[in-house]
Amino acid sequence: MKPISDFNAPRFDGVNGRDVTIGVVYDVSWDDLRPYAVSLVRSGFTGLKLLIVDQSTHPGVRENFTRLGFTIVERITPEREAPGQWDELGWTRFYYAAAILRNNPGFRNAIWSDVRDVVFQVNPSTWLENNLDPDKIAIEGLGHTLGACPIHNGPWVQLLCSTPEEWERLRVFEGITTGAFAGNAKLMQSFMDSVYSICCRVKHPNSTDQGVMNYLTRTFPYNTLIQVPAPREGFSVVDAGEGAAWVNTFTEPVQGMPTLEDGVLLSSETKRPIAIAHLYTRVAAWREAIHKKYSE
Amino acid sequence: MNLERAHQIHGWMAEDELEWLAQQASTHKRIAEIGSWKGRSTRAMADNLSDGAVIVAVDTWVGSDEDAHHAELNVQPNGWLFDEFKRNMNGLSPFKVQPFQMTSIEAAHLLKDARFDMIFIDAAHDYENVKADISAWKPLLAEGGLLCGHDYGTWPGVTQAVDETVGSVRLAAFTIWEKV
Repeated sequence: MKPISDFNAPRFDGVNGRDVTIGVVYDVSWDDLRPYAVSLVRSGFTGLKLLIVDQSTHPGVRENFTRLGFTIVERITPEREAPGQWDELGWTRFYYAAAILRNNPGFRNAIWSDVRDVVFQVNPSTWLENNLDPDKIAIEGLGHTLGACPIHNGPWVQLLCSTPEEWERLRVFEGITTGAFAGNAKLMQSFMDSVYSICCRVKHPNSTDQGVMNYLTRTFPYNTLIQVPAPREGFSVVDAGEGAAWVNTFTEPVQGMPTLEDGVLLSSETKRPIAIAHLYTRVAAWREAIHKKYSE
Repeated sequence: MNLERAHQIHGWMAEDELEWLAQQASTHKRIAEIGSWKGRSTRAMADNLSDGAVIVAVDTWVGSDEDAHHAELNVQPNGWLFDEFKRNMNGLSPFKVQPFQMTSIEAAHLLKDARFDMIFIDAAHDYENVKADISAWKPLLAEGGLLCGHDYGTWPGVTQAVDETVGSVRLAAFTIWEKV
């Protein structure tokens, strides 16, 4: 088994002052990845588009991303030694991303997102320039509080709390996801480093990177560094509403669900496109329209 | 004070300095340590924190131009020092120490909206850099907070910069200065 510390993060030329998008894929088909790739190109994004792949990524997927101007970074995902290691594969993605940012300290903003279920409807650099303090991070909100999610985010965060009072403090905050966050590249490096290191230390079978990220986001000092934009601000939308299988498990309504027009998800308040649409695949009508829009 | 793990970590912090830092850490909630190296003083503070207290540890973890750093780091692979620091924090509650791998000035700028009730400065030792560190971090001190640092009286650059930038100080433990 190859340890992840053997990963040699590449250095890139000419990146000073530029932005970077970072996505990580395993074994996912091009059909499922095409909307992400095509939408980022069409958004007008001019930074470095990085895709971190592993040994399970199909050669055709690499070729298609390369053709669209992405830079491929290779890593080797260690083989699982025990069933409980699955989550570790999720955590290590932040190790790779942080290592790349550490080796390329000139980046301005870093934009992290999931890949299989994300499209960029607006150039993410433009959104960051117009809406975010350049020394902060924006992170995608779930539209409901941690306390209102008794199956996923709530228990994930509770697991990390050492006292009942700690959970009482955290449960009132809106949950966030690991699926889309972006901002100052130095800060992103520190944040992802911390998420990875803490996940390694917690080592509980029911712990998740998203639980750790929720905890950090709402705790000093990251609570002074991270903003969770409201739906009307148009950073991102995640479908946790109609169409999501577990919607009935929430104990409060999900806020900020968008409307779909011509294959574009719009803020229901401002009627403007939301920069990052995440988990759109969970609503059949959204998936169909968005896949059609971003076919080549 | 619990200093068992701190004693196992190489560094330049004397025993009574570790004791003093641990004591101070036990009564403060939001601590910034500027310059952590392998984490000897970080660990001394972290093992004695109260519930809910956090240490923000700022360092580039690539060493500096000082000879002592060169001698050790020249024979190690890239990233070794930061890994060593993280290893030395093993066993702590995972959220107690938050490392920020960047220069002191970068970190002070990014953390501009944070306020700390204890700031411990132990990064560079030359006059210009120490002065810059103190100037950058002083505004982040909460009202009534503790501003302190290491190597007063032993490094002329530190002593001069502290005298000029902090004003009235006293020696708290061996070479640790604190603002009065």
